[in-house]
Amino acid sequence: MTDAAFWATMVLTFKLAFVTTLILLFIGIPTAYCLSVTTSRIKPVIETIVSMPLVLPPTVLGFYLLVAFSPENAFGRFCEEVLGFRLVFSFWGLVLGSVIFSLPFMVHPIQSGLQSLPKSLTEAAQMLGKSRSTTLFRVLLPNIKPSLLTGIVITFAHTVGEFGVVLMIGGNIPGETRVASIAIYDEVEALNYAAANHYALVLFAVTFLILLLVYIVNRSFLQKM
Amino acid sequence: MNRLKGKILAIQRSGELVRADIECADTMLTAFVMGSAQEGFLEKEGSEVWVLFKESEVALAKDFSGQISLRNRFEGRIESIERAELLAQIVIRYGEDTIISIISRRACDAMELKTGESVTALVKANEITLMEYS
Amino acid sequence: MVEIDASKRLHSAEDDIKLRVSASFKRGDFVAFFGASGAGKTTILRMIAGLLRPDSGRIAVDGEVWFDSRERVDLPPQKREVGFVFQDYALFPNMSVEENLRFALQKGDNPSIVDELIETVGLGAFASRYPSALSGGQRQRVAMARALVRRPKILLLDEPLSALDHTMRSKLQEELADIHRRFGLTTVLVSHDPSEIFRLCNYVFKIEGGSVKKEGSPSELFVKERIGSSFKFTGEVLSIERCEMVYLLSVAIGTQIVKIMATKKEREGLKIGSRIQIVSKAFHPMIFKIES
Repeated sequence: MTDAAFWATMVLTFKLAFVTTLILLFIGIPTAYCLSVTTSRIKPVIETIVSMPLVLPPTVLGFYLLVAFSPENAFGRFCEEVLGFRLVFSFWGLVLGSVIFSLPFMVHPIQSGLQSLPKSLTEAAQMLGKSRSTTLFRVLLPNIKPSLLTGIVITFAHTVGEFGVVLMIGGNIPGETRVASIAIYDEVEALNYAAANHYALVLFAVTFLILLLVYIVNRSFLQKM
Repeated sequence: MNRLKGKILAIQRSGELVRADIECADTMLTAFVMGSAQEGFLEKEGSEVWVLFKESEVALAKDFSGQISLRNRFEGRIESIERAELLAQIVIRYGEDTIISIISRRACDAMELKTGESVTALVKANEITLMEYS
Repeated sequence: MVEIDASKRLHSAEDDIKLRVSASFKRGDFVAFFGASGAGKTTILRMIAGLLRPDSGRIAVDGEVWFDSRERVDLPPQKREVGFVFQDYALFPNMSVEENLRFALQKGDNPSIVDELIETVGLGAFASRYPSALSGGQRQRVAMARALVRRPKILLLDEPLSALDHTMRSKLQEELADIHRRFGLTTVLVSHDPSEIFRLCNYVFKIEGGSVKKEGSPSELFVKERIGSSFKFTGEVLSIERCEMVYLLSVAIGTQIVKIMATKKEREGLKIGSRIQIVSKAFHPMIFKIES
């Protein structure tokens, strides 16, 4: 294994995690907000769909995504012929898969953060003439910073470690879809334990540092409140 | 608490202050109370009321003569006397009812009160409370 | 003129009550909705504010219709000119005192009102503090000031002083009365404390079983009792001591314990723990001013 290959895999891994987390932040906040305020009867259905990836085997999801992305099927063909890119065995396919698979890890902390705030905060902002979005961005979100941070970090870490979905829809193309978790598996298969250890150690250390940071930041935030 | 049944004969108001003239057995009583206009039972002359006053507010007089500002006088006969170290309790028979007076033991002794004697129980008009009869 | 005529079915833990309130009062009034907890007082405030939609009825302020189920009018809370002081104050924890008030400014408002209000409630020295670093009384003042930034037509107070101790309470009651006068407000207070209502309000609606049972001035509502005397306390007998032919009762009234003389007849049937009513005439009490 060359250094270049190692670094290409590492960069890809973190790029995937970063892009996924960023996209999920934009999807997760409105989703969590809607779930936290709605009294609609379809709320349980939405909650179930959001939570499905928690219990579904990754390979199941991966399998269906693979089928959907395939140019043999309508969605895959639409992407390839109309939008001009292929999802299966590509980086953006991985991103889409990871976004779906990590959705609950972003939505749940934010939703429970929002639900833990007293309802009177929202009502007070309303009484001061503020719109829903102003209330969300200036009152609600600033008061659930620990939940936001937790959502971001867990999503990031979870994407870094994801294996099943990635393997199913991404395959193992170096520099394109070969991420660290798959590389480890690959090196072990080839009985290349030193290289596997190399990947594993970096993932281990990075994950540890990220979580440590979260706990330190959250603690100082809570002390300030 | 002494409790006698009475009947309102006349009501005189001055702002919140109310003077009620009450007939109680064969005695005419005067009571001062504070009352606002809603107190319905004070409105109707002729309505029946409870006349209430605390035992410790009842003064006693024997062989009473001369002038005194107290208008509420109950002429009765001593039914029993109970003497303690500082206090004395005198039960006075007043028609159907009894009126109890608690005065100082010293006064009781100085007046040489005895069972069966005639006494006058005196109550200031502002010590009397009126309550709706029910 | 504020006119409220609204009904709403409420589901509570015990049973469903049907709230049916009809009340009206003038601009500049300081009115109270008085009643036991769970009677629906807060619901009325929330319906005025637009936080809760009545099932049917009409709410109008100075001829402007805020809610009318028949005309299908329902102004959102943002559009009703109402200041609301929540029971938990609902200060934004991520904003300092000044930022809490500034947040209430609308486009085109003169920001000088923020400093003015902070001075009015005497929090000039605390403007940059966060709510978590304030005492209960200070938080209440901030909530009050924040509700006034928009110059509301009506100020709604939901048990605003219930979480405070006695001294702070009476101090803030004075301030409330002062602010009401100074800003020419129409203020609606929800309270279960007759003394608070007495001090502040000129008109009371007594809510019982979901509707207005009585209304009138505080003295009309609270003073009138069957007995023609002025003092009535309920207390609990803590001990009974015999002393010659009379008895001394130690009675807990509120936070005070007092000794009261009782005659043998009065003592009859009383035991430790009995609830009693103590009545004294208006002529009796001697009055001493408490120097603060």
